[in-house]
Amino acid sequence: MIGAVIEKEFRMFFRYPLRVISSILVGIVFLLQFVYFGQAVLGGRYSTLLEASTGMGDYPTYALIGYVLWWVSVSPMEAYVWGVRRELQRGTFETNVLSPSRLISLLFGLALSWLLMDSLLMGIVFAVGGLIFDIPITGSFILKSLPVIVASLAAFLGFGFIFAGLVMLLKNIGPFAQIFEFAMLFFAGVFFPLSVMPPWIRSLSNLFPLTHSAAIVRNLFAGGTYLQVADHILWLLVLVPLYWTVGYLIFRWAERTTRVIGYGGY
Amino acid sequence: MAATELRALWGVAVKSWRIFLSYKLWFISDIALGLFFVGQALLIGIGLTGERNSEALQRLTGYSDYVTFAILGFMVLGFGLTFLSGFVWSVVDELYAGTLEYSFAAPMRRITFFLGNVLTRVFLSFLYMAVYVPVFVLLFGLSFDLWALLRAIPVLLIGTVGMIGMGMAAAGVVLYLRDPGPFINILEMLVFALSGAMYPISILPEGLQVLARLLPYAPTTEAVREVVAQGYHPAMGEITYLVTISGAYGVLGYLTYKWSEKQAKRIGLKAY
Repeated sequence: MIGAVIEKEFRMFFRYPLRVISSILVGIVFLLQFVYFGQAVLGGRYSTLLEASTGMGDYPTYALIGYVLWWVSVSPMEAYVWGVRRELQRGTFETNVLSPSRLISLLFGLALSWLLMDSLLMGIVFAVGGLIFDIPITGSFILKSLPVIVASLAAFLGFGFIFAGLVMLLKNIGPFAQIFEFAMLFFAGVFFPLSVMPPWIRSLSNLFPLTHSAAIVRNLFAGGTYLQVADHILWLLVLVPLYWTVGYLIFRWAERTTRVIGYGGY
Repeated sequence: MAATELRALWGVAVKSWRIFLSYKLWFISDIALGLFFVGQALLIGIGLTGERNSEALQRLTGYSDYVTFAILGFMVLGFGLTFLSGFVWSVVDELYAGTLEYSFAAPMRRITFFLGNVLTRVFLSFLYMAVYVPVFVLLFGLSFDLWALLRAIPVLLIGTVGMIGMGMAAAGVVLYLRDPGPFINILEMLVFALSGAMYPISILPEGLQVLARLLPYAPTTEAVREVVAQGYHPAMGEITYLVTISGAYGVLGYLTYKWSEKQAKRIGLKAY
């Protein structure tokens, strides 16, 4: 069932090549804005202050890693918010809900397919970013990062699951999701080090899987080991089951409520 | 006839406004977007340099306060995108909602439909600025010289001619496309990247610098920044170039749109 949803989403997305090109271009341009701004302010690409606070002084590399992970991390959230809404607008959501499959499988398939598609697109953006900013991306770095990237994807899926319930209940939560997505840029230190934030925000940022994923991958890129970022790995391992549980409970509650008030094929 | 068109224009603008108001959270989201944009600029600057002013940016642009630099760019870009978005998204939104045929079948000129949508967006753009300026002053300690800002308005209006022209040309292309969403996204991203809103275009590779100067956005941003910082006299070079490029886009946009509309009527596109 989940495989069928993934196949459907992939077919729909890749049948319009201009849409694929547009998504990649959006990804690259958004990145360029902040990296070029940082370079204009710095007068170069290297910041000693950034290195002192994060262990990585090359700003384009710092921004590229954080940005690509941020994009993928909000992908399941986008799938629930826009994917479900799109089906509602097209009038296909009711039909899908009435099919002999569990709603949770449909939604999970939707989130997983968007996550995979965005991972693919961001892989391209990462490679293009590496070329534009002359960042040496090696095979060993990618291999070393794979376990943490897989764990991060699992955490992002669980985190986004919270929104599956919300979208069923509140319908058009696009603007809310957009605010939240941009807030993540601040809370997870995507384009700037978290050391510039007040201590309470730094503590809060620990609750977001992206904070830890970005810190681990940046450390690995800088030649560090998993041991050096053991605290971040621990956080990530705690957050994966936590968000899956919280997301599932919210979803079940939202599903029960929507059955009562009647919405989306119930 | 003119009175009827004006009523239709008002009707389209009111409809567009009501649709926007029906999702009030969009307003908050749009405002938040501006704050995030400028907030990012401030925190990137502090995170990388530890200071509020940048000598490197001063050498490149004459602005040492990078937050003021980004805010001016953001405002010009936001205003400029109003026209492009107004012309193209008005078609796309209605196309996706399935109401475009009805709107185009209404007894009014197509350009009235476009301008009505643009009018709402221009109003929103001013509304956002009215919110942004005091918030930026309070949150980011922005110090505005009101006179310097006011003297840049004529320059912004010159650039507006070119931005409207660009919007009309894009609307002409949109009439031809079955699914114009990706085309608009690509166009908006090109404008965003080449507008010089967040960074001076001199930092871009040479090819992209040429492309940026061929669009009306970066020349407007640069002329506005120069006039705000230095006054009219030192900015005469930028203003002369802006007048030329903006005038060219105004004429080109009008001609492209008229040609496209004529073609659409001939071959039958989107309710023509």
